[in-house]
Amino acid sequence: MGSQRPLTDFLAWLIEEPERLERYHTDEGFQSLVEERGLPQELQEILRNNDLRAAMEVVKEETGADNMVFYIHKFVMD
Amino acid sequence: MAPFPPGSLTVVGSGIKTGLQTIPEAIRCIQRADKVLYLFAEPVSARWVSKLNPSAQSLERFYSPSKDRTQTYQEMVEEILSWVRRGLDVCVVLYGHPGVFVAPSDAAIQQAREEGFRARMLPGVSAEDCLFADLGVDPGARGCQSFEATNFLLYRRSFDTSTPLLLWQVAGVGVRQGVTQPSTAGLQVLAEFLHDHYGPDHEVVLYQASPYPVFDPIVQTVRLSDLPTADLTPMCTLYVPPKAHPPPNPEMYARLEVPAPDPTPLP
Repeated sequence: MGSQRPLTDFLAWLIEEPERLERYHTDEGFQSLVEERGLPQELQEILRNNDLRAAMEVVKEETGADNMVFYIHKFVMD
Repeated sequence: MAPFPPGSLTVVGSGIKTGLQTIPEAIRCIQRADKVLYLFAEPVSARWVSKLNPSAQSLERFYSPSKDRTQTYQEMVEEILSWVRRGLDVCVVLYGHPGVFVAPSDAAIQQAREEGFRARMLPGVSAEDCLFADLGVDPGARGCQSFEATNFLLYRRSFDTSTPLLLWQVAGVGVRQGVTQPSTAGLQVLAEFLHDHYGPDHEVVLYQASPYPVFDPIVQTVRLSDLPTADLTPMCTLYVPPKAHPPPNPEMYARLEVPAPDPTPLP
């Protein structure tokens, strides 16, 4: 059974091992990584297109963070 | 000198690209802590910190769209201190640099010290660091002005249109509560203000550093007249390039015996 949050899990999985990031940046390595994780074709396209805006939207949807307050940490009006 | 009571607080930054931009000293603190609390700008990083230390727990639950942010920060500080008071070595992990645009970190450290606990902060790679790298803006070349966008508008201050200007949190101008979408009303006010100083055709850059390891940043160049309708991302920053060279000061050139500059135009 595939992940319920495939892109989120894929990105987190990449961070865990530097070797995966090195593989990612080669054509062969990229293909083997996305196949190893069973990443759907449309998500592979987001990665191939280097589309950060789309990736952030997908992660929000996958994690149920559509209504997440985005973090403005400093309150400086006063 | 009185000995420190058991319990300590270390606040660290994860960098913008969590894991890849986290300094080794911060990673060691996370691994060795009795309790880890964290707050990230996106959900991917939570898994990373939980793997480093299974005690990791998010502070995100204190945010709410209907709640004043000041109250949120007070609640976060109290939560952090509650773990320190139990005698635990607590590590709080915040994205970016924990001392840059992060209200609860300074407050928690101050409170911990007032209660006699050891407390310190370790740096992280900030969004400003990423911006300097991604946009090629060198603050040493022309100087740099950096303001939180709401603060920039609320106070009458002299700023210099011949020096690069960075405005942070432009998607939340004038917003007191937690927000889930960029505020276009505030952006309109900001655009009008900048328009008066730079003119409608001046090009500015909306920038967001990538929080993910394999993506490039978002870099969107727009004219000031088009800024109110630009497609903002929640965490974006506005970079306003200088519109002219600053005028030289002949007296200082003479006093410092520096040869007068060529009147070269801006690149």
